[in-house]
Amino acid sequence: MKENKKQLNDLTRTFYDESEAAQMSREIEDADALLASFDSPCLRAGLADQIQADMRRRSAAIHRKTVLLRSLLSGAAACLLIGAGLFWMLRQQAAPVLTAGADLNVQEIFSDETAASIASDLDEISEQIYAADVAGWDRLWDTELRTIQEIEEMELLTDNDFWKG
Amino acid sequence: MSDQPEIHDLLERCREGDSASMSRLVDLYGRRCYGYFYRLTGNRDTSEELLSDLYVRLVEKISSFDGGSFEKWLFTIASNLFRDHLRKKYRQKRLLEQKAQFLETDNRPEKEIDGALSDRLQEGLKTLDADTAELIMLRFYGDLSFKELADMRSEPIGTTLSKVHRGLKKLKEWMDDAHERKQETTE
Repeated sequence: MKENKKQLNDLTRTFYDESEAAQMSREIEDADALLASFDSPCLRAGLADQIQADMRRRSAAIHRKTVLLRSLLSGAAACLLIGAGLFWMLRQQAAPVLTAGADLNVQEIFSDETAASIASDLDEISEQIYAADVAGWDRLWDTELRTIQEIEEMELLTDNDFWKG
Repeated sequence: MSDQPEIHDLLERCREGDSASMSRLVDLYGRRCYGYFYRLTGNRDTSEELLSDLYVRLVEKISSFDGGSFEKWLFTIASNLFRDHLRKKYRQKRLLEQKAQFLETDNRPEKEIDGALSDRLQEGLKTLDADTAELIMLRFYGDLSFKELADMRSEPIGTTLSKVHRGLKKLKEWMDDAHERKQETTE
């Protein structure tokens, strides 16, 4: 807003001495008064309506553009979220990785029938191994024991000095 | 000249697309802005076009208004539009001059639009350089202070004060002379 009389005087005094500033303020005020004596040209009839219509049109266009942009951004964000969700679900559904110390329940992997069949096979195999070991163990042990005794005897002989003469 | 809180409410409603607020803005500032354009261009059609552009620009830029002086903001847009118009006109004129054609644009002021006094002001403004004439019209129609004018021009306030003072003094002298000449001829 334009300066009032006092503000104008203060302003001119910051640049000019007292008398020059007073004259300058007076001249500016006189010229302002002269300009104010002229009427402002009037708007043509209908111009204001035309301008208002232009403003409404432009405002509506901007609003439409904003809504479109918002919808696009929302759509993009939704697609991103759905994609991320699907990716996460697919990863979760992949084969489980067994980790050390984890409890493994075979029934979570195999059906009941398959599990029972595997269990019976394992029992059969372990019985066969047990029977085979028990039958041949003493014989094997005896042979190995004798071989060790022979080696020790040979070592004693070589350590003695009698053959040196 | 304007009630700032009312203006801020109006702008807020305009931003939401309220037609009544847009109409109110045109009622409040339309005539002043039109006067500013008319005094500088001297042409009714061009001024109407510039005024229309100004209000469309206002709708586009309304969200950039930072809440300071609305008049300063509005007349800064008006000043930019006027300068764009001058540049465009200069380019057209140069193009036509190059083709050695006589330029018959409508840049002469209309006669007797608002009576003899208005013509005298219009003629007086033409004796000033474009920048000073614009500063005086911004001060008059925009109701802007010297500080606001200096901010708009990015120049020291003393420079603006000196330019406007010189311009107003010259304008007043020219108009007083014109008035005396007119009286002599009627006698």
